[in-house]
Amino acid sequence: MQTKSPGIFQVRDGEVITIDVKSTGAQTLFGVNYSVFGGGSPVIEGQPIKVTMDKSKAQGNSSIPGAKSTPLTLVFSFSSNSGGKYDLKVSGDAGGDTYTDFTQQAGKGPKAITYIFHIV
Amino acid sequence: MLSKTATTFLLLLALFAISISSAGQSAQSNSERIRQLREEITKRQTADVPGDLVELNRSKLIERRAELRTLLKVEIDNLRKHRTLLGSLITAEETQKIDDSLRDYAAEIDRLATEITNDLAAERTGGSTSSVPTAPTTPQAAPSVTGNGGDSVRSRVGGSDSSLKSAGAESPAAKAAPLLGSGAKLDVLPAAPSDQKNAKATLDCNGVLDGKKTASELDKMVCGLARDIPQRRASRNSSRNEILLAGDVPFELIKILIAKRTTPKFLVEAEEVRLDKQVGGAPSNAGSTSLTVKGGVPAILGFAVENGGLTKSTDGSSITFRGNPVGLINAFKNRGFVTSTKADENDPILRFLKKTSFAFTFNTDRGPQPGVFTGTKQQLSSFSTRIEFVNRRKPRLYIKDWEDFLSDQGQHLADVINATHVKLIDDTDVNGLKWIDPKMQAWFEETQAQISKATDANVSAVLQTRLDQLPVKELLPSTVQVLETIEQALGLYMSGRDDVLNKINSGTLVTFEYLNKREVNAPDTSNFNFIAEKGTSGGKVDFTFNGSLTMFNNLAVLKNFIKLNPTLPPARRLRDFQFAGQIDVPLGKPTEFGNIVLFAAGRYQRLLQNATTELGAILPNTKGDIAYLQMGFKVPLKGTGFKIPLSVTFANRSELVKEKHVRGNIGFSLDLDTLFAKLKPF
Repeated sequence: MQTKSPGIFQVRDGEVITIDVKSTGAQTLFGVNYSVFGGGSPVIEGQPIKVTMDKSKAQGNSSIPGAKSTPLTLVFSFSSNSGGKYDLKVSGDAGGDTYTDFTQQAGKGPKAITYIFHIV
Repeated sequence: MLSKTATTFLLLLALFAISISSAGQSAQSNSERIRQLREEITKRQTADVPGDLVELNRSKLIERRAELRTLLKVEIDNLRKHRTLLGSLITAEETQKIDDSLRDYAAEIDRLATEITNDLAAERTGGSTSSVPTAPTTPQAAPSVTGNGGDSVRSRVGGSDSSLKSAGAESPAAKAAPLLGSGAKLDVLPAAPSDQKNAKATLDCNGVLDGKKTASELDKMVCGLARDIPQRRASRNSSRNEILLAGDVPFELIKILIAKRTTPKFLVEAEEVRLDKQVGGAPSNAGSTSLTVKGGVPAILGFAVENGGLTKSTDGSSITFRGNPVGLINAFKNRGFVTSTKADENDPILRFLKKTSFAFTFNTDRGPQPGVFTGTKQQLSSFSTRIEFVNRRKPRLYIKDWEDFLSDQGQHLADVINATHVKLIDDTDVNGLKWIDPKMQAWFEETQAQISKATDANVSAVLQTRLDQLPVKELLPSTVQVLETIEQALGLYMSGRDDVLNKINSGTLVTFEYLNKREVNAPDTSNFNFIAEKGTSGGKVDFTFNGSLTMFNNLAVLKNFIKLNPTLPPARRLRDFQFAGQIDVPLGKPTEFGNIVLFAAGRYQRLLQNATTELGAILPNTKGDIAYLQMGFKVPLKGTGFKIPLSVTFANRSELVKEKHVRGNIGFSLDLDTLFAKLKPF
């Protein structure tokens, strides 16, 4: 996995992406959902998300010749009133970059992060 | 004036010397010095500078920023030279990297210019560094000194303004200005962008995210963005602030667009209040203002001052300290609220101790100095301990409900955001994303430009100004359609979340409390109180029930007293039993009135023995039934942990006087949990 810009990655077709999410802020019930290729599920605390980047399922265009792009969305929920925070690490099994990110609670509403993967 | 001019002149000389020496540095030492300067500037900007050192710190900041600008310009020159040297051998990747670096350096140079301008303006007025750029509205020519391709600071010779030249953007005025000396040229600063000049924070974000102010979801989202932008810059070690169209920013902007477009209740109304904590003393204490005892206690320490006396006919003032032993130990160990909470969950002994609490009440009317709190044993009027039997208000008991919510509304929202992403944002280019809606893209580009020039201190003001200019009414119909789809999913999500949290907050609490009441002359008593609490399913109303027995600790003392007064009935161990109930209802919209809580309480007490006065005298014919009815308000000072209870109580009689009466009570209480969570959350 190669980080092209913040939140935008180039990955190989078939590369398995791992997203490790940890709740690091105020005590909150762990609440993370992911969605990619038209489906997804809630994330179990302590179990990283693993997604195989399948070029045939990607619908978006890419400025990389021959590549296709797809968004991957993570929704973060907070049961706390304030101070909730999630830290993330995104990496690929083919090596390359490890991308770290975070999202912090601002109100009781959810936060959502969408990453773009360009599959070559 | 003279001394200021001289200082400025010396400063210019120093900067000139720095410029010259910088030009000769190697690329390696240049990079290292840049890193050091960035570090130092960040530290100086964020440091809590003592009043006496503010001016000196500001002056150092100006010097360091000026030096950094010079070095950045050297870096720009080096990059350009390198590109020219490689010519056609340069790869696309290298070109891209050079372009990115040039852009970043230019932005940083501009930002430094704005910051120096602000500092110079603050220095001139003797005020603190302004959070809003205060550069002159039109460029003004003034003499300055500059090195070869280096930096410059305009002087204030002759009372003219000081400002800085923007990187690589020499104005015609600057070019036309007379030379000061060999190699020196007149330099002019660009005015701050008009939007930055006009940027004004209408919302004090410092008070919004930490709960010091009642705020809507919209306010919190705006302040959350303003908080995150500088934090992300720091975490990426970037030189400029950015509002990225990747990560969590787009969804925040989408929520803000929705809030501004259709003002849905779930985004524009403020949060509500927790009703279950007991901070003050027990009803039997001299100054107590409440008829019932609540089930919850502060996790660390609560403090209440009350004046009144509900169950006696004598007034009194009491001070109660109520707390949790584990919470206090953690506080003394300087462990954060969250850290300690998580650690304690893993220790069975601490888990048990967390279910216990203690309270000490002092009657300030006792002792040699009535009305003065001395904290002596003499003033200690009661102590109590309690243990929690049932607490169905712990979030971890509702994991299944939470998981169901995540699988249902949470997943639906994630899928909707993912599916609609491509309809809002063009993600084709690996170098950056774009809004598909041209109005949003134009807004975003301008916002990005302004944020990149903003200092950490004025990001919030710039962002708030820009958010006020969101093209809410000019969006494409396709964009509006997507926003409506997301709004619907978000509404379902918020409703689902509220259902789970209301269920948690309305869970049952059952607690047993033992209270030892210490009298001065009368016999001491022990009170055994069962406290039950339950909220309604909507989480809006909280019910409390108390049932208690009071016994004399030492019957022998009472018997001896009765021996001396043979007309009195024989002494019995049981003094009284009581039942009490209370209902708490939050009033109105928090945004309009604050989190005021209306409460109504009733209490029945069967006095099985004649009442005893403070002086130890037993009053004949005072046995019987006593009924109380109380209504009042609790007015919280939001975010401070302070609450002011105001109430009026009606009673058919008191323990000592068999006459109807009406009493007013006022007090204040402080829940240290609130303060501690703010001061040291982690």
